[in-house]
Amino acid sequence: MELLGIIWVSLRISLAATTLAALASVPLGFWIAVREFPGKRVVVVILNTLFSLPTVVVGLFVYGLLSHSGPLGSLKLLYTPAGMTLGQWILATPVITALTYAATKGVDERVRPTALTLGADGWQAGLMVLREARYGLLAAVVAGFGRVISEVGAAIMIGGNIRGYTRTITTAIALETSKGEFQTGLILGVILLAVALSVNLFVHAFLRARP
Amino acid sequence: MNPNPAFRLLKIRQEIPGRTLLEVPELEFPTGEVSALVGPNGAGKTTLFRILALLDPPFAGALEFMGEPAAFSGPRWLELRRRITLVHQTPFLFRGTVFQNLAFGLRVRGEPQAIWPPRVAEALELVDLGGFQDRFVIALSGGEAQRVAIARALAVQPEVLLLDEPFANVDAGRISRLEALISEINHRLGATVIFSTHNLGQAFRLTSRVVTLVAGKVAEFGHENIFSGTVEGEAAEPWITVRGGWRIRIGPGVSGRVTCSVPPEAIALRPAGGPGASECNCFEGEITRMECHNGRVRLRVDGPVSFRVVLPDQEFQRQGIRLGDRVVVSFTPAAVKILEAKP
Repeated sequence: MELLGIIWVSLRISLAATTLAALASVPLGFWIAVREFPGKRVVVVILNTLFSLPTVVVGLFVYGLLSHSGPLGSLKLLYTPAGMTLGQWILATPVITALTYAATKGVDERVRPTALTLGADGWQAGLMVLREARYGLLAAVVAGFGRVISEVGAAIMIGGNIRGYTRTITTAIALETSKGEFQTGLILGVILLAVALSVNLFVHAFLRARP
Repeated sequence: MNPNPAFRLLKIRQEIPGRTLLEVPELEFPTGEVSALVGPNGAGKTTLFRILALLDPPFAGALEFMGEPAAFSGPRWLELRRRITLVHQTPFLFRGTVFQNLAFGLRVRGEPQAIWPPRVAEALELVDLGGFQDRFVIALSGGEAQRVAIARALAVQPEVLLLDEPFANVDAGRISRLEALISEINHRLGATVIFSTHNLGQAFRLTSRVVTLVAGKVAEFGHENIFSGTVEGEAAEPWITVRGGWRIRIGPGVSGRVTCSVPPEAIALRPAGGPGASECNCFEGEITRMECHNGRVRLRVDGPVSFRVVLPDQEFQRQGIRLGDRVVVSFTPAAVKILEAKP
């Protein structure tokens, strides 16, 4: 039963963080792709660099924010799932934004004029571009999810690996390994992959239903 | 019927950094008629279409649509765009089914869903694709995709239909059907149709209202028999080599890459097989088309190099030329008009 609880905590935090990140990052990535503004290249390079943002650094940063004496200490989010969600949100955002940017850039440049000449307004034409990019957008969100469900650095620093509360699959693996329980660690690793596989199968089925 | 022209262009100029794509001092396209835009690749046809479709504002100049200034932003832009539809030279079909593509224009206009199926069916019938509603666009052939794109434009019943090179990807067997469709769209739906082609003969088959574009400028009417090539030979007797390796001698004083035209009126005809002057531009061919027009006869001579020739009626009668005759066309180097020369 403890195992189910761990899976549930992992899934809940990762899905929440990915959803929140997607809500902000998909429009942001799209906006960066379709608008021209000074410093656009710099923004794209920074976004791509943030792919490599070390999870422990984000953990440390959020820990500093949320700790008792930190600027957000009064919110008492340290060692809570909500605090972990914040950390994972920071990790997922650049990934989803940059991949949304790439997916939007990859859409055929005739889509927007075609929509416009058929009578679409600016919003409707933009939505059509997003619709044509939907495979890439889902890939972006799935990549963001993969980034957060598999990371351990931020989860352990912000969550504290509290049994039954903030213990996730990855922090459980870290704990079991440090105890020398390699077998349990490996099994947990396989379980994490199985969870990720289920999410991907679900997304794939969703895409197949709408060619 | 609107007495104003569908489009009036005044001092329109379109450019990208370092290059002028289009320069039109004055041009009108009449309402309710078929007009053709003819010119070689890169002449500015697509650039002009994108302006007429209100997709790209011109760099300079004024565009009027149905007698009113055109808008390129704001609510009026949307309102005007919904009366004009452009079919791209290589059209893009949205992912999904043919029906979804045809219904798109109706959906964005907020038309009630009940009218989508009949309007879609009607538009598909017009392009001979009845029953294609549920096909996925990825399963269509190139020619079918082209016709779906035309049907998608027809489904919104535009006042003006712009067709950019509609014949470019259509198999030879379907060309005459598509030509008939253009007339039908104009007659039955009352739409103003402007289409582009690089085939002047085709343009004249469909309309007498032909605008010729060369190098971004509207050429005077009569710029036919257009050839491009690099000037070779001695300075006093230069020539250009055209497709098939044939030489066309031109007047002295030009160099570089030139686009030139041989005015159809400047071409003489004589029966093939007789003696001829060897120094001039002489090409043998067969008469494949004849049309009478205001006391003049317009002929098409097909050979290794094809020409359009215009003869006064009397001259035509005197020579007794008939369809299918083999003839020699000839013209002097001085008759070749240089339209553009690039170093």
